[in-house]
Amino acid sequence: MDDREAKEDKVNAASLVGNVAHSGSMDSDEALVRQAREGDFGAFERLFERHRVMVYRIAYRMTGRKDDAEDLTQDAFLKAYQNLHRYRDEARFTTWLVRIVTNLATDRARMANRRHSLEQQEATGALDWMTVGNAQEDPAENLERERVGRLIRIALAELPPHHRTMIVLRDLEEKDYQEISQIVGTTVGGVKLRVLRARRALRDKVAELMKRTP
Amino acid sequence: MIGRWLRERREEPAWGSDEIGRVVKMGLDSLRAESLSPQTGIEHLRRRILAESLRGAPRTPWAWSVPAAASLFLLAYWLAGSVRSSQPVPVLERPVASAPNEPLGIAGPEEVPRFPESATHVRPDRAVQFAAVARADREERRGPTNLVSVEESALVRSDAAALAAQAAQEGPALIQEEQAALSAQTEDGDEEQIVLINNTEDTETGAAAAVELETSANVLVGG
Repeated sequence: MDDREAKEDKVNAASLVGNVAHSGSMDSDEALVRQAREGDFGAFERLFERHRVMVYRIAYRMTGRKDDAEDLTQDAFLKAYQNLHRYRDEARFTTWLVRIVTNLATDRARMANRRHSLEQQEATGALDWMTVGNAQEDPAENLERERVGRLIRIALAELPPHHRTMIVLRDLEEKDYQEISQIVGTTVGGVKLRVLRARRALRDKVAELMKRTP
Repeated sequence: MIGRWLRERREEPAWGSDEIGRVVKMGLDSLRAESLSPQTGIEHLRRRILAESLRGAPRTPWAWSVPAAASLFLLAYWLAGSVRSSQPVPVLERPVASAPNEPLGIAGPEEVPRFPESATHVRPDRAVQFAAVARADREERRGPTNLVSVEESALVRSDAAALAAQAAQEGPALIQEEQAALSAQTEDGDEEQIVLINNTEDTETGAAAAVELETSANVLVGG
């Protein structure tokens, strides 16, 4: 289990810097996309292995449920495979991929309003078996961190999808404004304004939750 | 107001140094530190891609409209064939001769082209029956169509009786004359006798005289 996580962390780290490291080489995302377009499924497999953790992470933070995140990850790669001919080299492949997964997550969130209470249940710990535990050395700090993390997860789940997207991309995925503007299809200034509003909304939501659950 | 909005757009606000800001920052750090790994492998994805490809790409509109149009055409063709093969329905067509003279441009009624008699449509039997029945019904509704007065009808009856008496008197004499003529012309052949017989049938003396003449002619011919 530890070996697998370590391996995936390496993959994850590679995906974060992958666009710089692979750009221009035969192993770049764009080169793999070209090979996949020509029918080389192995090239698409490499793209999947390279970016699946990032896609899953965004999907999980957008949906708040691990099973939904698994589905979204598959859906995103399936959609990417089916629409490879539409991908243009003007944007990075990861930008295009993140755009796909955020759109899918937003659509799913809009359709899943009725499951809102279940998401809250899960976020508050009723379905803790679905979440991954985070072992820390200090039990008290671990408990506090876990409690606060749960609070933020609830607040994120209660935010509207467009605010949640901004928080996930900017504050959790730490993407720069330029890339976010390409993902959501707007200007950099527009992205800054959206991030500002999303943060305010998150603050308000957290304050409300803190009042509700002292 | 506008300056404040511009400043907010330019500067990224911190989460704040209050309790809420501290909680938000800690919570986000906690979420960032989560180790998330999907269980989804490439095998799952490969199976889904295969299933989707087997299901087929979404069809363009013409891909389903062409078979649908072909099916509709075949259905219409079949229906037309079944109607044609069933019992024909007689259509009462108006013969040209009885068609009213409709205005045809500047042509008057006299200039309306008339088709030869052979070109007119033959009225079907049912139409004839229909016409006869319709005529009978009309006569029943109108009552007796004889417009002749009572005196005229009595006069007609008396004339008929006189003619009948005259025929009864002249009939045997006429027959005797003809028998004499036939006996004088026995060599003339059968054809003339047959013609004579046919002509005799047309006379008003009736069928009895014709039969009698025929038997005598046969005797003369030697049959």
